[in-house]
Amino acid sequence: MSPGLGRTVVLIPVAVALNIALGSTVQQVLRLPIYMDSLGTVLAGVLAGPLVGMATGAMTNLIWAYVLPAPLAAPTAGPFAITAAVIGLLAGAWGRLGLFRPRPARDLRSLGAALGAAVVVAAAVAYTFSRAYASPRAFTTNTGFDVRAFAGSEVAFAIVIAVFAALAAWALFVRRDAGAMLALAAGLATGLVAALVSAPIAAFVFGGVTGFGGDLVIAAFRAAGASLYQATLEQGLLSDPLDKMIVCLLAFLVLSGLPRRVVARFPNGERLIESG
Amino acid sequence: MLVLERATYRYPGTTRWALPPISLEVGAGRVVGVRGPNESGKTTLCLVASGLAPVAIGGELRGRVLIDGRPTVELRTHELAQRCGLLFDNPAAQLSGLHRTVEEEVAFGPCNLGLPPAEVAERTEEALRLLRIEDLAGRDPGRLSGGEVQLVALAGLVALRPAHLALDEPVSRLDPERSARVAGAIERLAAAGVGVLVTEHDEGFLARLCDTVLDLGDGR
Amino acid sequence: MPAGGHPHPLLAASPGTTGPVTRLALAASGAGLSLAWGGWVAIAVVVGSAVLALAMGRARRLALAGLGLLPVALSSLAVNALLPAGGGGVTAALDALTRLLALTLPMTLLFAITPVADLLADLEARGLDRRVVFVLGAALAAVPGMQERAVGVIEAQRARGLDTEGSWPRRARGLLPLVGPLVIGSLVEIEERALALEVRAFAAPGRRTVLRRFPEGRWQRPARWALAGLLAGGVAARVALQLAGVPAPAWVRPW
Repeated sequence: MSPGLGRTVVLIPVAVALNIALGSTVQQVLRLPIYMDSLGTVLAGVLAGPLVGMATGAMTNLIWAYVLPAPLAAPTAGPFAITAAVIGLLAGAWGRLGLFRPRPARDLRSLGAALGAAVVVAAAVAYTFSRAYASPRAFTTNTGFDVRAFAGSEVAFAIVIAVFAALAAWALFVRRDAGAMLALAAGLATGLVAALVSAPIAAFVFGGVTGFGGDLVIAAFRAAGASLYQATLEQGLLSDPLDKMIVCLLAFLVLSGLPRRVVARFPNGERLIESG
Repeated sequence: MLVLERATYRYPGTTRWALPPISLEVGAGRVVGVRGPNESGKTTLCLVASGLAPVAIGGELRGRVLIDGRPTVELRTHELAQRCGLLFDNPAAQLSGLHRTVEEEVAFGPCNLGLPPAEVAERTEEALRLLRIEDLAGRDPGRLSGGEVQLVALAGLVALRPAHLALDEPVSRLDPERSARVAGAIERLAAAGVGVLVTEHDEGFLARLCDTVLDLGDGR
Repeated sequence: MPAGGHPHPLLAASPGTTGPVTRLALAASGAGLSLAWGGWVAIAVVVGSAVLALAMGRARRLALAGLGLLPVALSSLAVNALLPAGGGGVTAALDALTRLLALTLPMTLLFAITPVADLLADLEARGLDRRVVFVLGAALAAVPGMQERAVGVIEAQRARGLDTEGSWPRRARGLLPLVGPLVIGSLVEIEERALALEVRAFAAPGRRTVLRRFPEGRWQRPARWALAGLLAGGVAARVALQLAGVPAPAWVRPW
């Protein structure tokens, strides 16, 4: 067993326990509208690769749903093990691409370049969102597209983009680290994919609802005429990008707070530390 | 016989030599103490003596470390574990956390080696007896006191039947009564033929227990 | 063996008539077939699980699991009943709910009657890699300690003035001070824990000794194969029907 593999074998249980502790204990204390139960998954993926991320995510949900005893068990989490695995997979990909490496922007020119990149990412995401809503055929089985549903979803996008812009501005001008902005963008993209993956699961297994507050949003979208798949997706497209943006940014900040030698020893560690 | 010949070591990715060149010998049944202030390299010495540095953690070793004639760099970690056990200064981190009873925890090492069940049971019993913790056999490892955790961790190492042990500050977190219990266990192990290397900053403890005491920095 | 011929406590055989892996096969096929077919299949699995739970004295644990699904049930019925635009309405909601229940109850019952360590030991005895066994066992074992640690961090930060009761921006500022120490502390420990495994010869080659022995009546092996075949066949048949555009036969659906 190589040293890297040994650390990976120990990393996964720690990451799973982090997910559950953050998603239950810490979440209950702060009561913010984010789940926080994927931070361990993102860290595991970024530090040790896509397969490790997938395993961490899936394991977290399955243990949480079926193995943990009563006060803690969350049976609704079980079917979303697939989504959790996808989040871990993506985190591994972002880690390999070096998106979570600190990139302090020392001068105006690189800040400007990073800002430009942020604008491009935001525009691309906004465009993708609007396309997703312009072609409901991919998600709906019966009723067609309704203009009122589109208007509601535009509000949802606006909120997500606004939060992204605010956090990106913080990353670039307060923190002065383009890496933070990249992690944020990676989180936004991850949230988008997570919503796309979760919607059919929620629609199939749960009849389109999950018992969380988001169901009111789903109801609102349904009232506006969207089909079940569409409504679930629209609710997911609001909450998942928000949650994953924040989780990925937190993961970045935490990683940059670790001593270099600790990070370097993980399989993907070299791509997470500043060169030089 | 555990032998260090002008052994010096640095951790991966660092330039500073964490362990200044040191030579020492630990023969069968002998207890060798090493004292030094914090950050003087006591933990590194234990990692080097047990072979885990560099075999398990990387880094660079100069000089030689031999356990019963074999250089540690030529061995794999499970072979090292059967030749020289290492007790961490943080005992809680050393228990696997997977087992419901102390007995199963101590059996972890022999099970990892794939030994026949009867031999696993025999080694476990022997380890518990040597450390006089048979009464802890059915207890939950997560609910032990500090001194008990130390003894259980030691038993877990002893079950692999190494000829040597490297103990990193075994009593620094314990009160005098529990320290005495651990000291007694070390004496019994030495009497059974195990060569023990102990690092500590408590000079009194070392003076009472050890045949020889070295200062870290005594390059020889 | 100690004198007297009694087996060493470490080597004692597990009681019971069904081994853990057989139970896993039963739970998994029940859950899987219910997910695929819904309708009466799911209802049968739900009723079967409830009866078994009652017989084994685990009714309370299953009831709690069912209660955990109550918010979903109410939400789903409300959304589908009041706002039927598109989608199947109340019948679709009921079908989804029975499927969800049929997925949850057998798995919950499985882990209510089978210690995870036993299930892992049985799987390892059948060839599961020791590292996978470790990861699964350690993940479960690490949860209570991590929660305690989280509570410790929360209290320590509160003592330093962290506000967890104020407006949402103030609470949001508490994110990094709470998450940071918890995560960093856990990650830094990994190095030591990995070393602790090496020191116990965890990386030794070959198969580990599994001390537990499980009941292996001759009927269990054919039963497991039959269950696996039923699951694979049942799911394949449902998928085939779906792809062919043929709706599920009416006798499967109560509603």
